[in-house]
Amino acid sequence: MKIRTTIFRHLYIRMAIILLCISLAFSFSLIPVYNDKLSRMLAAQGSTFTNTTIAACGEALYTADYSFVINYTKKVLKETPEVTFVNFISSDGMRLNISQSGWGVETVGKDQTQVKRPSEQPYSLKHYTEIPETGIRDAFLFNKPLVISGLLWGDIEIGISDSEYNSLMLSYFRNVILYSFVLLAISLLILHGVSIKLSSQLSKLRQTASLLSNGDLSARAPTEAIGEISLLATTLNNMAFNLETKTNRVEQLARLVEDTDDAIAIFDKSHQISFINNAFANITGQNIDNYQGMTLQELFQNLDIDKRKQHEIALGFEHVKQLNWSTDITISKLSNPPTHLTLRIERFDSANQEESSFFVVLSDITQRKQLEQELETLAYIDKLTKLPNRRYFMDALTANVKDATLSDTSLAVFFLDLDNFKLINDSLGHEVGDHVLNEAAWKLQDSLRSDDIVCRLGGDEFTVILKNVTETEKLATIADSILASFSTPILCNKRELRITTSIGIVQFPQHGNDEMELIKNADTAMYAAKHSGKNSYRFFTSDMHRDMKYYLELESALRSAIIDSNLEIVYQPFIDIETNRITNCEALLRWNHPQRGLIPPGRFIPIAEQSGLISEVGNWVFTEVCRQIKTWNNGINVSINVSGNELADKTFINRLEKTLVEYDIDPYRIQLEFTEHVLVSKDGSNLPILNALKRAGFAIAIDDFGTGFSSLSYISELPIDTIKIDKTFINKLPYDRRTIAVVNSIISLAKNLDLKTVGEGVEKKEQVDWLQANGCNTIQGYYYHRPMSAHDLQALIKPDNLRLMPTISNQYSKPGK
Amino acid sequence: MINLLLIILLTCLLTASPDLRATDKPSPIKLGGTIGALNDRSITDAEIAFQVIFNELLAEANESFSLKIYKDQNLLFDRFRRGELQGILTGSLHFIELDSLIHDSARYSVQFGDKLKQNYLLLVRHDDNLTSLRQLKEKTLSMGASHQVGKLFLDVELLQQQLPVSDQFFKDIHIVKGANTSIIDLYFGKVDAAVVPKFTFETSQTLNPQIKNKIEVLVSSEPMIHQAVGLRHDFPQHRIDNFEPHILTDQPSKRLINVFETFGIECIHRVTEESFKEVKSLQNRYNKLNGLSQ
Repeated sequence: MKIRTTIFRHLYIRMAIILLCISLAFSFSLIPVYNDKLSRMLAAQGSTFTNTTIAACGEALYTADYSFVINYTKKVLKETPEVTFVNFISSDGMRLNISQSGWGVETVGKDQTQVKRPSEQPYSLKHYTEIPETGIRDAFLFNKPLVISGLLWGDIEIGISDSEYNSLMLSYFRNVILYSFVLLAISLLILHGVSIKLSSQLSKLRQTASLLSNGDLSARAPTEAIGEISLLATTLNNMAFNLETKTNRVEQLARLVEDTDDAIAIFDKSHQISFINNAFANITGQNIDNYQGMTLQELFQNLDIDKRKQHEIALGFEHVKQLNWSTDITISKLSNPPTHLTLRIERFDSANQEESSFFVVLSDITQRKQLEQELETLAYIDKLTKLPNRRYFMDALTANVKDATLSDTSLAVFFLDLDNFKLINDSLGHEVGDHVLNEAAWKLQDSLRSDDIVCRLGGDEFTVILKNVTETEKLATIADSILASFSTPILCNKRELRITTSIGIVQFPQHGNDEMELIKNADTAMYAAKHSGKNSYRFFTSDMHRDMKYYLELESALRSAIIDSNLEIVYQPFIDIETNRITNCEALLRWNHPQRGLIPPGRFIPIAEQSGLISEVGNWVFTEVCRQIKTWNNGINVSINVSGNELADKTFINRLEKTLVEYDIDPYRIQLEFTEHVLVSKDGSNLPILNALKRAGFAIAIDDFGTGFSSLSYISELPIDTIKIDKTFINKLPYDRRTIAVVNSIISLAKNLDLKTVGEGVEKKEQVDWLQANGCNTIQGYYYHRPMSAHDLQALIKPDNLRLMPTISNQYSKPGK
Repeated sequence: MINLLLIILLTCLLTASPDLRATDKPSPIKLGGTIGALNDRSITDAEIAFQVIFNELLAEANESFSLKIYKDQNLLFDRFRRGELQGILTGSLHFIELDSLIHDSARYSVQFGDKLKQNYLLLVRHDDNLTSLRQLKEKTLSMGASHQVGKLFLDVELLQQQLPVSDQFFKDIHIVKGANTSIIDLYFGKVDAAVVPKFTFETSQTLNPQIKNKIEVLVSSEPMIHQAVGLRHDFPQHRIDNFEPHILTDQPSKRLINVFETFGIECIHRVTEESFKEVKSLQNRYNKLNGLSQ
């Protein structure tokens, strides 16, 4: 039976000792009782013997027949070896001593004739190591009165060997010990049996604790246990969980300390370094061991920190009653350029600052410093073009204006805006746009002097400050140079991009007294250049503000008109010459300005195109037309004019299709009209989208045909359905021979290409007649109808009334669309 | 004819000496004894011990004894004469009387004390200051029942001093069971004199050294044999030869020693007629003196 746990060994030993002690104590406490019983037994034995002897020898004693007494007694003594002697003590002082070895007679004093016995006891029993006067050792002396026939003869004494008594006592003790050990063994066996389970549970608990102590913090003890062991297991598990959690946390923090880029040095209570992390070595470039035991002062000396800085640190650390303190330091020793660090000192324990330990953290802020410098630099530099930015320009302009004022000199400011840059950015992507901007910046710088300040304001706007240039001609020359520089194409992704710029030019002090006025006027001049056709420059004049103001007002109003639905669409029907029937109509946009009245499309469409509103306008028109077709539900198709700018929008076709789906309109119900120069672009860049529109199901018409310089052969490659002969040709019909020849050619070409022809702006009958006679398919013009509202057109178009009489309406003041 | 022969043969077999029938264990040797021969031992003790212990001793010889103590001596002698007993244990005087019936080769005497032949002593108390027999006239005497020889000795002494024999001389003669009792009675004054064998007196002194101081010898006899054991003259010799070595040995076995100790026997001697000459001489002197006195 191996006791596996010391606790049970401990328990067993103590149980054994306790049980034995209890057993022995109990047994010893019973000794008097047992002794008393033995004494009573001896007394009984003695009584029996003496009674028997008295019975046998009584008469002989009475008759003094001592020979009988002696013989009998000797015989009896022989048969009862535990009785060692018998003494007959007569009242008159004779003592007859009889033993197995002999007999004798003595005379004793009468005071000895009667043994003093307690009155309540009829006998006396006493143990002697040596019975007096007998030499008998280790025996009991039993004494009782010898009464013969009621008469006291004397006393009879017998000596009873204590061997049996001792044997019984020895047997008692042996039994006590034996039973004690048996009881102990049984108890321990039972305890062991009971403890097996406990031992097993404790063993598991111990194993778990052992695993925990060896670092396996995931170890858990089974909680299905008895009583307090279960509680202990639960407590141990909770402790293990907390320890694991905290250890993981500490490990994470320790790893953080080791892996962090910040150098950490921990100082003990004697203010010497006790721990250095790896980052310290990385930052200082020295072995970690070099720093062990260093004081703060020694560390500073090692890092070659400026003494004034050391003194500052010492003051801050010693005299400032706070938990942490930090400062920035620069160390030149470590590297070139110097290393910038933030030094932070923090105490672990604020309660006793005298004895608390602390730690030092060195954070490399070199990069931050660099970034700060960069930011400071970037604050004045345009990140893309590396040109000075708006902030720099403003500061520079302010400074130069001030200098010019003080020195009574002049300066000029160019305000440049790249033409159609938004179109390039939107159509080709920002990457291309950035490349264009960079190239533009380079072109600009190449075109100017080195001391001219070239800035990028933002977007596609650039400015130039030219000092000490007063002559207008010179400035014009510089502007021409810039324009010439921009005339060379920009190569980007194997694509040639041509970009122009519009330049506004102002001079100080002529065109402004301060920088703000100069900028404003330059901007105005730039816009004037834009409006004049772009790729040009304009010197500021005072009336530019008025035009600019008008333009900006219109632009703003147009935005509002789109939002507030102040735009309106009118419809001008197309008449089939042969059948005189209305086959379709053209949607024309009108804007009725609340203050300015009707603004012709020729005025606000360019503004829309320039301001980038054309997509919104076009989208609004298309949506409105679809809605109207749905409302009419009369089978009339509608033509819509589409700006070339819209083709640059990659979402153009998707928008159209989405709108068609929304209103459940078939694409063939709509004819898209594009001007000749849009369809026949030099690089053919519009051809793919035209084909896509065609595949989508739209009809495509070429508007104002004949006004461009496109090659007729190119027309054959276009996916068009209709050619609309420009009004300028119609006006000259039927009398101008060259016009007649041109128109005939157009009509013939169209027929050969299986295209329809529409005569635009027909106002006279002879024009109708000529067109009819020469094969034109459709007439559009005031001869038949002016543009009308959708309601009027719907009323005009009746299912059984397709034959229309020509009418001329004065609804609109200007002829044409 | 044949039937007759068978009957004759059977009779011969039935009447043949015991040893012819002894193809298996012989019958126990029946001994009879007097109380006086027990030397103060109890009858029961003697009978049982004799048969158990003694016979165990003789088991090797394939023999056994049975002992019966007779309080009536006449019955004892009668049965011996008639052959109902094969052996007898008695005092010397009776032994001499039965001499003719006793086997010559089967006569033994038990030694009690240091010698086979023991003196008989007439003991008196010191305090009585007795110096002659005459002073014991009308006194009381104690002696053991088996000590006829002792009585004979005393009578002879008395007769030699022209005194009457003990029966007439003493006021009272107490016949006690054993000599030791006589000594004790003398010691305690119950009697005035005691006749005991010397070895008994010596033994009592050992038992009670005070006796030595209180009791003295007045008269002493010459050493003589007090008792003897004998087998009938017709007892088979071969049987005697068979068991005798187990009893008569210089190197008694442990068992034999135990037996001797039980009876207070020192050893057993084979005796002859010659061994009894002192007793015979005493008898002759008694007869002579008693005849003269009458």
